[in-house]
Amino acid sequence: MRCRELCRWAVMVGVVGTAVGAAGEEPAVVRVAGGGVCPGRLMASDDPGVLVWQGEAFAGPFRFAAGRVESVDWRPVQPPPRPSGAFRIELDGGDTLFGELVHLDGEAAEVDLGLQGRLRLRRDAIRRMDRWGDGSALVYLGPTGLSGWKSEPEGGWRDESGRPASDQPGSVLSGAVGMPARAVIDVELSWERRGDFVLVLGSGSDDRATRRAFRLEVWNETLVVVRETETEADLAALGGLASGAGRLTLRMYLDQEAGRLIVVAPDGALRADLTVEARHPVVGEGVIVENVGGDLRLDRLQVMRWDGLLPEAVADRGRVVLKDSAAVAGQVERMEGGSLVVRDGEGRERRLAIGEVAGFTLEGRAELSGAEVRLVYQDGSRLSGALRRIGTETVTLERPGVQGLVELPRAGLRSLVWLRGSGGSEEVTGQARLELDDGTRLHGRLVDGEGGPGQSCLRWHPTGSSLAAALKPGVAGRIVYREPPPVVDPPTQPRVAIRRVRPGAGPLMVLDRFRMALEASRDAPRHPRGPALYLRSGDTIPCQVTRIDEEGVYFNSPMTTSTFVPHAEIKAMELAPLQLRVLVGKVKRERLLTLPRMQKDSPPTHLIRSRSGDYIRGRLVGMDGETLRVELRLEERQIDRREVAYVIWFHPDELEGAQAAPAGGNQAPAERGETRLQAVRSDGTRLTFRAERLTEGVLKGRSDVLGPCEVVLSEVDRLILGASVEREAAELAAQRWKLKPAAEPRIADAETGEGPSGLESSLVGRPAPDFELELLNGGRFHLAKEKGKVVILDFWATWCGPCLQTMPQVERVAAEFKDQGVRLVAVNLQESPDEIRGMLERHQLGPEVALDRDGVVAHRYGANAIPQTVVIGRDGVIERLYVGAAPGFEQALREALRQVVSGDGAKEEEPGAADSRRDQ
Amino acid sequence: MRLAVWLALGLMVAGWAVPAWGQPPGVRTGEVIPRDVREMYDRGLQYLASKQDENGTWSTGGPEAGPGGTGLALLAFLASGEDPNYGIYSNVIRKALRSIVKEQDPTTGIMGSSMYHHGFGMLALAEAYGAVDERALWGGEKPPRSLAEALELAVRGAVTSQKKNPLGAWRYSPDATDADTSVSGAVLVGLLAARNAGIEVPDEAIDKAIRYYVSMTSEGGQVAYSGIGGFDDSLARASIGCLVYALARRKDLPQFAATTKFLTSRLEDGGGSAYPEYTRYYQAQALFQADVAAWEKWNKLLVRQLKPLQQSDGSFRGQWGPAFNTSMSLLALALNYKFLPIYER
Repeated sequence: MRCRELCRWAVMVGVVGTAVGAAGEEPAVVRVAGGGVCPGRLMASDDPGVLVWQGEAFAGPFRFAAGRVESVDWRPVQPPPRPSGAFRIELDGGDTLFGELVHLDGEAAEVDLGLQGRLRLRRDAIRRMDRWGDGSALVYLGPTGLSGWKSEPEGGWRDESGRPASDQPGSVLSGAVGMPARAVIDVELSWERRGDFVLVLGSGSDDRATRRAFRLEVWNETLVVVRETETEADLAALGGLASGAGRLTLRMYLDQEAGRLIVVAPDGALRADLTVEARHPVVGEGVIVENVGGDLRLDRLQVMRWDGLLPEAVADRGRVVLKDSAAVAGQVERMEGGSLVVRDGEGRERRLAIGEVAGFTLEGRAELSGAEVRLVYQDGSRLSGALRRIGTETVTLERPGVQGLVELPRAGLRSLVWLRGSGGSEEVTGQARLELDDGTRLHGRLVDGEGGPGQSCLRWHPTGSSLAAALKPGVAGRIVYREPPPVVDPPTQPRVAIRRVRPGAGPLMVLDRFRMALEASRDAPRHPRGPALYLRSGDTIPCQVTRIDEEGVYFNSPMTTSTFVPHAEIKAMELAPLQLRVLVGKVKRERLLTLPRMQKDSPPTHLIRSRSGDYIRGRLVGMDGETLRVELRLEERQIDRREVAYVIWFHPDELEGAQAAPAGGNQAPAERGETRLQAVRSDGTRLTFRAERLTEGVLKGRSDVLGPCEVVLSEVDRLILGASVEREAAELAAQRWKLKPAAEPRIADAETGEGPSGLESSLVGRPAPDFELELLNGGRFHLAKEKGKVVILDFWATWCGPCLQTMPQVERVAAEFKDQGVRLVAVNLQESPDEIRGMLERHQLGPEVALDRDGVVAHRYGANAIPQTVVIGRDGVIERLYVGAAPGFEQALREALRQVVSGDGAKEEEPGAADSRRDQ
Repeated sequence: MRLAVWLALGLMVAGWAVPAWGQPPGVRTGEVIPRDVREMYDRGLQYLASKQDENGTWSTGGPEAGPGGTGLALLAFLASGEDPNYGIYSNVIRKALRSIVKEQDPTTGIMGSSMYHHGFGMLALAEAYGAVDERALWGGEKPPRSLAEALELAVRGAVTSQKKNPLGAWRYSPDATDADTSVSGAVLVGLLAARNAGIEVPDEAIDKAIRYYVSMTSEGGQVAYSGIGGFDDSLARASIGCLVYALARRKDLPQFAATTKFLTSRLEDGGGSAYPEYTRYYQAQALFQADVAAWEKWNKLLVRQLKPLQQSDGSFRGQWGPAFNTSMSLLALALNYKFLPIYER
């Protein structure tokens, strides 16, 4: 015993050797003040005031001031490891450990934590120990991403490094976590901007049960717990939620049968104790989290079976609960020979075998002072303290109640959370923001840099870091200096529009036109005033176009010394303002962009719009100072250049189903440390180039199209990086003018070998419309009189080639069934008897022909395409309807007749289909 | 002296203007062949020359290998204006020609496994006859028959086949009783070329075949494939119809006007058809015969469409074997040279 004390509260770290090796290398995400996020790896640091972070997208590390770091989060492992040890040990300040009680005396306890080693704790740091049966009490520990959770609407919640997160208001996340009737629930929620949410505990399978469950809700920035049943309702306020980023950690004791919910703060303080009974208690097994109007992340949820032992906040101290639920009042003094020695109120000692003890309380206080960080492990255990050192494999804390330093393994960590309120978000306003595809979001600024092997010339200095680091080449994303102006809906501002119709101020008009077409554009770029070229890369070059030939466009621009761009790079050219502002409706736009089937192999390459608003499609052959030469329907025409407002280029690879445009060979720059980027300047011009160096706020590089170029950062709204250039370019209005092939007619697939089913028409299953028509050879045909017979109507005309192909087939099949009461009537569409007779003679056909002189019958049978063959059953119901001369038609018709004749019609074959049709 | 021989020969056998071999092809019509056409054509010929088998045929895959395929490749060489006897491709031309003659059945006169082969082979023979110096054709080998004899025999084979056919036209087999406008086009154009070359072709044969086409042509200018009805928008068949009316000197027929109108109103529909190479091959000749102005417009589009189809080795991408695609594509372009007698208007 004494020798253990001689250890002077030292911690005995029995780090388990396995599975620790690369623990420090596990990818994680750091969150810093002001909404900063950076995926990467936590590096070792002896200075607890500095967090050294190697971002994934960066060539070197950052050194963040610890005061600005909010948390480091590792990916949750699936399934979460179960902690080992018989007892769940609750310490002051809400810390929780799992382990075996090895020793207990008047001063200290020693616990064996398994993976985290042995820890010797002062008695007054321990609040209680509960037997939890190696996790048998654990019902749910998570979440690990969205698995097991359902998001409504889909995509409303996303997986943010293992934690479900949402910034879509109204997004509901529900999970059946298997909530027992009596449960201890630990929940941690956090948000970046505003916490406005609902948390339902014990939600049921139906709405009613869910409505009657206990709920945490935010009412006017106040967190309340509320329950409403059919008989009563009550609520309690838990406290206010400050605006801005926040984190909520609560422990709740829920007894669904008794209708009681006890809410306790991490420090053990009672926040609410609410009892609202229901007439018929229902045990709901689910949890629902709804992001009502802010943003929200579900960081942690742990559900354990509750043995009913009340939290100390609502119960007296000094009790031991036995496995049979009997409680013994008294103070636990020590452990001796496998028994707890308990002294009761009268001073008598009682020995209780440790194996019989379900739980007991000690002297631990609620609050814990001096804790700066909390380590949370994947198995749910957590320990707070002051951070002393981050090693490659361990984290060292100093914790009251533990003498000396606690060295804990990094393996198995889930989060490292800084506990003081987040500060410093005000410092990031006015800073630029780096947003990368890997999720990086860091405020800061670009500092001077030069590209080299493995690093680009873009060196990012995040706010709060003492070090800048170069982006790796080829990283995709953007740097935002100024937010784009809000989209102004042009139709609501007609006056502005009219005022803009001044000479020389017009180009905006055209661009508004583009903007109009940009239905779901996320940002409405400002545009340069004056004639300009728009490249497919998204570049906008204000310029005077001097001429166009078959190679490309020649121009003069103040922006570049280059004077030529090949056709393949161009998307649009603006020459002059529109004289009138005419909006292009969706229908007109679709028509302008539909490529007729006839032109499929020689699609128009340009769309030209006159200043008066007219459009023509054709091929721009050339242009000089005076005229545009345009090929229209293979004929060349000349257009006065002064009449043209703008020209849009259509490229073959833009067509649907076309092969993607070649990548453009931008792989090489990455190796040379060049980063391809697009500068969006505040005047709306865009310039794409490979950045080579940044010196004193001037970014220099080389454009594939325009040669050497530079931009002054102070004039830049945004820098778009890497692959995002193409992605954003695709969103630009001009780029969305792309031809779309007209729909191809549906042709039955001859290769399947299956004939048409004849069941697709909505007329199938309906009573055949009655009619009476004159017959070619005299007499009349009245359908209603044919009840009891099977009638085939073959709608046709002499000018219809396919009709003449199918008619002999129909005739043949009808003849086969002649003896079984089948009558064929070929309903001719609006032709003279002479014409019909001539044709029948030439083709030696002899069906009975009815004359639908005004086409009324064809209309009733929806015969807007012929040949159309309709089979009417004996009961006067349409059984089959075939359109066109499809392969396999004859056999299909024969089979259909066989079924219809034997009374085995469409309804029997496809009950669902036919019945639903009849119900219509 | 050489020139004189050819002039004499040409005048003797056909009465059509014999090209002045050896001069730049453009000189003949006073027009300059567009540079991109010339480049494409030359690269295509180089490809074909490199892929010819020792026996004179092209077997780059596909059922099109045979006297028809050989004939079309041969036509591509003849159509460019390269001197067939002394130019760089004279050996290619001679080998191809020998192969076609050797493939001919000495009894029936039929060349190849189907009347397609026979028709295209006959066309090639007709165009070569009079242009190729037969003294150098066979080298040391004993000629099975002269080109004139081979052509006459081929005409007889076609006419015999037609006589057996109740429709007065042709289908794949020489003994078929059925006909279609596609096979018949190949044979009929071959016959007309032979007649132009001075070989006797009975008027009755031409008239019967034209009657067949008239029966297969709709008022709108569509030409059906086979059997009854079934008029569709096939540009290939409308082109064949239009071409045979023109070559048979039957521009007086309303069907000629109808097919011409059909074609000239669809200049831009081009390769949208199911058989783009085949379509372009006939469309070029039909438009050229029917409406030169329309052909000129269409020809621009043709060049535009073919350019991206030509591969780095000079062959053309398409639905057949590369040699056949190349021959067909070159022959669609060949109207720019206006060189083959069959292109005479």
